[in-house]
Amino acid sequence: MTRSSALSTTVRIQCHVNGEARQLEFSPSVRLLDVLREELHLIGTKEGCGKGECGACTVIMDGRAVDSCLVMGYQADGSEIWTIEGLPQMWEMQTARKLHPVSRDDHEPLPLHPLQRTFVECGSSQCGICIPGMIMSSVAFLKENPNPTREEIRYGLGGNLCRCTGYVKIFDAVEKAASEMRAFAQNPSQHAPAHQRRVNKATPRRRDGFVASTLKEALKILAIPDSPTRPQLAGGTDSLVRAKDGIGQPSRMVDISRIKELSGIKKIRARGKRTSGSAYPQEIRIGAGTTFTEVLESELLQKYAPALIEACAVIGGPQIRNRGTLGGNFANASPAADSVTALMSMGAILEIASLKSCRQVPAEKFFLGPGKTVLKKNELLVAVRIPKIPNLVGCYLRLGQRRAQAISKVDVAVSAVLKPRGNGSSKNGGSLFDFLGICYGSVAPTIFRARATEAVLKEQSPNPATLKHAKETIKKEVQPIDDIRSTAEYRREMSAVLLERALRRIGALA
Amino acid sequence: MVDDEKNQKPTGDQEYEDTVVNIEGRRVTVRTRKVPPLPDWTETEIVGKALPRVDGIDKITGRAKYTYDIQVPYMLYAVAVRSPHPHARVKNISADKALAAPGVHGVMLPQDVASYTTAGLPLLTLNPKYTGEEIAVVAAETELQAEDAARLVKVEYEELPFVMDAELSKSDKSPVKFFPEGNFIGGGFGRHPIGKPSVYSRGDVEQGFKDSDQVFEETFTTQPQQHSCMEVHGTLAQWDDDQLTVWESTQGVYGVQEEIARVFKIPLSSIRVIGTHMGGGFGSKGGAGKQTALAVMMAKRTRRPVKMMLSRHEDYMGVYRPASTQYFKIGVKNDGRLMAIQLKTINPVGAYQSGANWGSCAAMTTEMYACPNVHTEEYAVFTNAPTPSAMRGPGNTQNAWGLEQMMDLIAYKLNLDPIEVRNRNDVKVDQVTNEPYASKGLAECYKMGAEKFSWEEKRRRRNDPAGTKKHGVGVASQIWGGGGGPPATAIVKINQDGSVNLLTGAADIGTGTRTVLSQICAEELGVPVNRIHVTNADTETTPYTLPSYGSITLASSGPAVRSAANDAKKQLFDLAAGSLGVKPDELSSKDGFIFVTRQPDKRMKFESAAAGMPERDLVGRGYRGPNPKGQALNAFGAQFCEVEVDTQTGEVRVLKFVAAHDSGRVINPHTFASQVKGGITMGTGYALSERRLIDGNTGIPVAASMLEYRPPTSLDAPIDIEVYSVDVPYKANNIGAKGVGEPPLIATAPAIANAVFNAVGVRIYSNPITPEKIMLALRDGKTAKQTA
Repeated sequence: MTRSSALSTTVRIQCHVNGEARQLEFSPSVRLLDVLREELHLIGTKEGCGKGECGACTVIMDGRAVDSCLVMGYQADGSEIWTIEGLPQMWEMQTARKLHPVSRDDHEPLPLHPLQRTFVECGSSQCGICIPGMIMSSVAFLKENPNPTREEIRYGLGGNLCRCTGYVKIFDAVEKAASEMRAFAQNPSQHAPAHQRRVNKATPRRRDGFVASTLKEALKILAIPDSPTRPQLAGGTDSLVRAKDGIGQPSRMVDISRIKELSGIKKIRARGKRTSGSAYPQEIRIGAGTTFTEVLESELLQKYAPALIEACAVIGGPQIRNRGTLGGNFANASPAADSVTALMSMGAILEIASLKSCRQVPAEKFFLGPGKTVLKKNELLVAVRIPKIPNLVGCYLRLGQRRAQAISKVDVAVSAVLKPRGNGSSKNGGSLFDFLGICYGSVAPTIFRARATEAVLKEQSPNPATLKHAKETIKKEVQPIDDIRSTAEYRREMSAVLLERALRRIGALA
Repeated sequence: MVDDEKNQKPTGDQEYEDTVVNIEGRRVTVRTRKVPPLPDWTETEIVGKALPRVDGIDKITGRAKYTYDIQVPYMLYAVAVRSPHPHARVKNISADKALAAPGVHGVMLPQDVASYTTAGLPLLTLNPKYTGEEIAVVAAETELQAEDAARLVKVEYEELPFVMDAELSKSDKSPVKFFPEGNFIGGGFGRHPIGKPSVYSRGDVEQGFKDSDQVFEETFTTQPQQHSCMEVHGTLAQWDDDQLTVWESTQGVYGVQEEIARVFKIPLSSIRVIGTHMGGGFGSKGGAGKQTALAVMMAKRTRRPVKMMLSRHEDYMGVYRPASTQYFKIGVKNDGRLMAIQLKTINPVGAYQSGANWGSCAAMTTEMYACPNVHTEEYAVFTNAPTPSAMRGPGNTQNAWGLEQMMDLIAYKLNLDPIEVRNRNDVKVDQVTNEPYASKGLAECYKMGAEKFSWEEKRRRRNDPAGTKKHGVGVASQIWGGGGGPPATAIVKINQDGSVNLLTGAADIGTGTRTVLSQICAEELGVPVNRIHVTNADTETTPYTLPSYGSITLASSGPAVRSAANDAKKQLFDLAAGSLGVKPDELSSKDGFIFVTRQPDKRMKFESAAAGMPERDLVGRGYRGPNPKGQALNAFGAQFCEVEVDTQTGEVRVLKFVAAHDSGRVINPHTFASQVKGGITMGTGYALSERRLIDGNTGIPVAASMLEYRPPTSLDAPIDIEVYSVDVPYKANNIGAKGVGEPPLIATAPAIANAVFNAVGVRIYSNPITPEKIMLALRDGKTAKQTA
């Protein structure tokens, strides 16, 4: 069966595009990108790669920048979408005033969003294919960070490739627009009275066959032996990339991104026996559908999962972080899954459900090999739980192929509770750590916890000799390989370098 | 009448002359019309201003339509079936299932196109010589249907031995024989016999080495670089009866039109090629591609318009800048003067002869520095890899990696400033042709660049021996053509309301062609730039010009546009002269007014003059005249770079670039700076991350995605780039400008390599400079070979 003919039906959705309510009907095989371009003729949204690697197709969906090539059309049901064509309206609505007209010719005034205008003024476009995506990312980024530094702008546009301009003039334009937009925000007199149009968000409706709205619904599908469809589509940052390569058919994927039970980050009372470390009375339960961006924005996790925060901050680019989920990062079982390394270092426990039962598996025991996990065909990863450890410190370090949109060559997460200094324990050779978790990614068939190295470090307080011993130990503990991204030798050496850096960062080394 | 015609001057030698045009390192002689000289611009109002792009608004609103965006009714999508093997014979091929698949309207097999080739390549083949070579094409109503149906074409292959390694292919032990005469060719342009290298020689290198105080021998290698244009290659072909319209993402609509006419033997008048907006080329879209011919044929067969856009994956399975191995031997006097250079290069160029053009990379070595004795020998070797194409600064970009590191190495060995060594070998005459440079501002580039960069001060700075982050600085230079030349024609039409249409065949591949040509037109006419509307790159409405390659566009079409505007202006002056009561040659124009030069208050509005045109409009024509005889036309530049190298991880961060370029007159500082900044960023990728990888065991490209190919992201690009023009006057054409498209890329990678050496004392001989290589070099004190 072929992708296009797998399901000869169509889906219907409601959404808002550029402030207008739309009812759309299309093939379940098409992506949001195709819907925008082919159904709505919004050709400003470009396809550069189809795999979330270039950002040319960036649009704003429910307030966040997303790669529209990694969103299935039906996943946009009930969403509010903005494309480059709608920016002038968006700015008018946000500021409740008519736009300052900018003219190309004396006779053709055009209303433009400040970012559009500064991109022209700063000469930021060359061939121009990447520019709509660049601007959409910039709009989303400035909403989160209205007063960015240059370095923050570079980071904020990490998901958008440009091959012509060298980026510099793009940063100039974003900087200039930011200051203009701030000036506008600071000057309320410019705000006209509120005759702002309201966008009525469409209610998400059940899309039988393509969207599972509840956990039970998803588990029911999973319980069907040889079901033609599979509830596996969350952020799409892995499964739709593989589909683009011809592996898996989007029309056979069931969207699980709307399942309430898979979302949310909350404190819970600890249950069950812990397999590692001391038991902590409280845990944090993170729904498997939590995106990396949601992790980054969670105050709870900022406080209790420092390594996870650092890991999520360097995954992909902003668009990938806005869609990719923790659950997907686990289920995909890549040895280079950044968030997994961090969660495992905290002794994460995974909640796995099937229609009939529920079980808990420590993150360490979840992986069987690259791309392989203990998940059975009828099971779904529901949540990740981490102990809520007071005074936890942690960090995440990695070496990637590039500084954004990169896959790690080697990465390490360290989470620890340091014994209070000065009580003598570290001086007389006792352990410095009340808790220590060290995990590595990309240097073994699966992400793993470096138990032997932990043991060396826990034995006595880190001094030059212990550190040396620990570095020797980790070099033996990793099992790296040569591949197109790096060499085994480099990965092995860097495992030790990153270990020392990580320990230094968390204050475990003088 | 017959007598009159006889009495007319034949279009002979008086009006035409031969001139030399340098395109991508290839010197071609073309016959061209002599054009009346125009006085040099002294003070300019519009030229030289950093005006916004005329198409800026189209691009930031999303309304600019690229080939990829064009939709026409009843359009089909075509997708190729490609060989999964690097070398095979197709035993059997069946399209029955594909033809029966939903939405499918046509399948083309090799036998359907057997009599056609484009650029020396078969359109479809039964004997694929590289992974990804086209076997069949399927057209269906949606792209997904076409992709699905392409998988249903059943092809049985007999796998054949293949060779990926150039040295092996060149040797007697090669498992594949590409030609009876051998597996290599000279490479470069012109005819070369197979089985013989191309050789260039001057002086006596052996004597030169004897006369040298020191001789250095080093080997450098470069990886294939891929263009990674943000718009992939693609074509939309539509037949209306016998009239063909083709939308093509191309650097030259006329080249595409000529190739279609040649392949299908149809008149040029029946073919319209449009390429107004296009999403980057960098050399990969110089002419028609296979997909052009395939889309045209499929459209004919199915009687439906056919669009064939490559996927990003297919794009990465395709064209590239060839790799090189460069064996250098350079003899010098202790004062830094070069006495002899010997260079042998081995350049794998894929399986077809047409790729050999782009393997050649010795030219820079023969002309960059003064040296009496030079011998180069080049081998373009066939392997079972895709066919390369031109890529931004082809040849010199590879060669600069070796040559500019050699110069740096020599400077360190002789304990001289790298700039001093370069200055001591400066030369005012092209050493290959013995022609003096029309202008050469390289010394000025060194001077200005060094000053802006604080070169002296930064070179003196020492790193903290205990620190793990080491700073280093490096410099490299470049030479390139960029003088442009004929043929290029422009038409300027003045309308009765004083508005102006500028028609030019030149493609704007993102460089800003439309903008700078508008400025030239507006300057010459003396009207604001917003009076000008440019139509470009459409064979039906715009006149002939060469493609936008070889950095020739501005220096080719620019002068033609100025001539056309001047022609139109003169015609308008003839009309205005009567109204103002003076002779036409007493008039000037500026700011939208035509005025008496000596009495500027005696004036009339440009549009008032236009309103008086009896024919309601007038048309000015302009041709690109010949280049001056006996002069070498080249652009120069020097780039200074500061890096930070982490000695524990081998990571390199490019902190700063200062680029000083000699491009003659800068028409628009905005577009000039953009070209340089973009070139430096692309060069940073070439230096640090980009590489096309083909698995030597399987012959399959394994980094065929933006993720694995690794073009620089916003976080990888240099943190700061400063761009300067040295503004050395250039009089070889009537606008005083040279091209700047390719030059910025050439010096970048060696500048970074030299800075890395300066920082940590190890030289990386093969690009990309990965952390892995740096760590190995730091450990061993030298560089081991490595692919990652």
